Amino acid sequence: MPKLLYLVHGMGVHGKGWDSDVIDRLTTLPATFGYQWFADHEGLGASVRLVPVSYDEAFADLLGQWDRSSEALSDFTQKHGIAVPDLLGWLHDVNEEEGKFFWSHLVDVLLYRFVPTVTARVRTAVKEQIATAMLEASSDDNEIVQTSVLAHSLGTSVAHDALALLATQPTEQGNRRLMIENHHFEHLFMLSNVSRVLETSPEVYESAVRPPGAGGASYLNWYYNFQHRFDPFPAVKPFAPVGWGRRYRAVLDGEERIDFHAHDFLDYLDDPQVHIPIYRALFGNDAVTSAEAEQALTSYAMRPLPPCAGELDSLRMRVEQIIALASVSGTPTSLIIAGAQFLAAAREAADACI
Amino acid sequence: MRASRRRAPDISRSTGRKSAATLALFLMLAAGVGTADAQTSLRQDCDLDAIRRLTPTEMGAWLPRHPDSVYAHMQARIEAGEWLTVVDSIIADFDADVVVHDTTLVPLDARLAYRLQLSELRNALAAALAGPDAQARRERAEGVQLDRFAIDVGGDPDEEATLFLRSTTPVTLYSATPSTARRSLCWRALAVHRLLTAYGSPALRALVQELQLASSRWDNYMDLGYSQFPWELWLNGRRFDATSENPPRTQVILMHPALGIELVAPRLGALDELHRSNSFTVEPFGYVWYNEARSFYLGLSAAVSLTSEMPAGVGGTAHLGSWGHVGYIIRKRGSAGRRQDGLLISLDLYQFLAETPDRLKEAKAAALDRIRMRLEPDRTPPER
Repeated sequence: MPKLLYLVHGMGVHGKGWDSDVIDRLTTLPATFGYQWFADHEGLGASVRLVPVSYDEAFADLLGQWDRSSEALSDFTQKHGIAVPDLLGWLHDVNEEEGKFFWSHLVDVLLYRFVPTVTARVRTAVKEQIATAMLEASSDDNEIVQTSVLAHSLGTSVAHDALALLATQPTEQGNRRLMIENHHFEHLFMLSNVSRVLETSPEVYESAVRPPGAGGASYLNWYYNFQHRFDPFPAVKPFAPVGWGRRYRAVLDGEERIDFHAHDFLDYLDDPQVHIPIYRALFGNDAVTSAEAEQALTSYAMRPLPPCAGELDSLRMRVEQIIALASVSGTPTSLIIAGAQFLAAAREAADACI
Repeated sequence: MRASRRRAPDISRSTGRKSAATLALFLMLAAGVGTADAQTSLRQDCDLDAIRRLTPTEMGAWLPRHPDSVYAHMQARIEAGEWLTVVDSIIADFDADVVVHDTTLVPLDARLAYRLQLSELRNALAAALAGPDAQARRERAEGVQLDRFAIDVGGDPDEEATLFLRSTTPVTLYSATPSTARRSLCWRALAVHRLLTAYGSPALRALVQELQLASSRWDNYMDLGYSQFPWELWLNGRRFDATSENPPRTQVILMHPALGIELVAPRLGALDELHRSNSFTVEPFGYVWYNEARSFYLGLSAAVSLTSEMPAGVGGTAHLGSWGHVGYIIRKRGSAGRRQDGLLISLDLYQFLAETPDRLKEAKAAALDRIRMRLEPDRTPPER
């Protein structure tokens, strides 16, 4: 029975091959931490098919168009002596560190949240990739296909919205194949969940993207929500439903220590508090025994951090300030601002550490 | 029963050639198999991946009832579209199963819930297949709940297997549930689930086709559509539903800057005095209509043209997809009474037109060369 785990990336450029790091990490973590089940069952790849889902072409195309237009207009008017205001010079005008992160990462959030044509294009792309992978896995033998999603950062909002549409909205031709009466997703794993701060309609606490026991229609069997204490993105407006029952699992990593990558997809996966529940959910509790889990948690807690205690302390204070400020308003705008500040602060601290 | 007992059970995927009656007989192995106990975990009894890793020894007398074997025996019927025959066989097998009727193994309410689901499935299939538009409805996945017999296996620290999770009467199996009961319920459910997956496969193919078409339309809209600046995106976004599958068919133009060439003749008909001016235009407002594929559009907009040599002019522009735009600009006459109205064309269209005479000349010359070569094969063609 093909098990598919869709990998939905977050903000930033994710060209071809973006998934290789994530796939490699998921595949090698069992050996790193000594989870015997994987060695006994030919590794992770024998039990699940990891399916990368990309959607950032929607952002890249638009930004590229603006960039080209801006440059072409500017060149033309200068060359031909036509006096017009520089309409789009601000597209190029980015010198500060925060501004760079805005254009490299956070503009994706802005476009997805506030430009409906971009939103729709992204959602269609994600739905198409989900359906296509299912068809390929089912192949000619009508194999039962189990589907789960692992999403990070902006990808949590994208995944939520795409699943909500799949669950409740027939296609324009009336196709209901992946709607809630015909299909459900086994697990939804959300890392750095920003779906609530970026929600539009349906709102995340009201949609069908919930497990049984949460009340109302449920498109999932299990919902896992992972958040790092020093990750400001999900802290702006935390996803924290009440009364969703035992099929909703929340893991808040309250570790006191911070490193430079508290928001990073791979760093989330490295944490046994994150990857152990994922492996157990997908493959059964035997995938990681209690003893193996305990050892993994201990070794991870004792992992060496970069030898820059001063920079890390400063970063921690800065992140706490960013979180405190951003969570006051809890809006998409505050997310974008906080995100840019955090990424810049982390980069500066990391650079100072070298 | 005898034919089934003489044949050595196997799990190879043979093509089924049995009649419906024999299919039912094959499935009705409960009398011989039912009470055989197994020593496997809940996941090994209810998760298909784990079941597929079971050895023949671990399966024991259950080997013939492996979900893959059952599916293989259903396959010919499925391919022939004999859905009700297969479901009736499964129901008959369930009704004859001594395991499910043993209340020490399967509680009465669980058996009744399971049986009810089988009946409802049968009724739904019958209704769906009887309708005049049965095929169309099947391709839209209407009328039959395709994941009715899906099994959820999970839970921490203790795993459970739940059937009919979203129904009013779910059936939950635990580690303490006898393996015999788990297999009887789960293996049968897996066979039914696979049957329903087969029933839903045309709809999945149709869904993929539709979504791939929508994605290509979005690509066209972005690559070939009339560009939009941020304020235009904002405005057009206000007119668009973000839950839409396909891109918009229309687009508003608002304060859109563009580049162009103006061709101005100081006197009407004075083509030999035609003057070219580089133009920066702003289209204050306009409207664009897309074709279904979003690969081409037609549009109209007002235009204000700014050049370095003449005062600003106003006019209108027609948009012709990726070919470009063409329009007309009106200005007050110059100080000497010279006309300053101009034909406006987009930069890329101008370049195309400007290069066309040269391309035509080259094509004509190449054609003449070929003719000459045929008429005078010994002659060396001229260099171009």
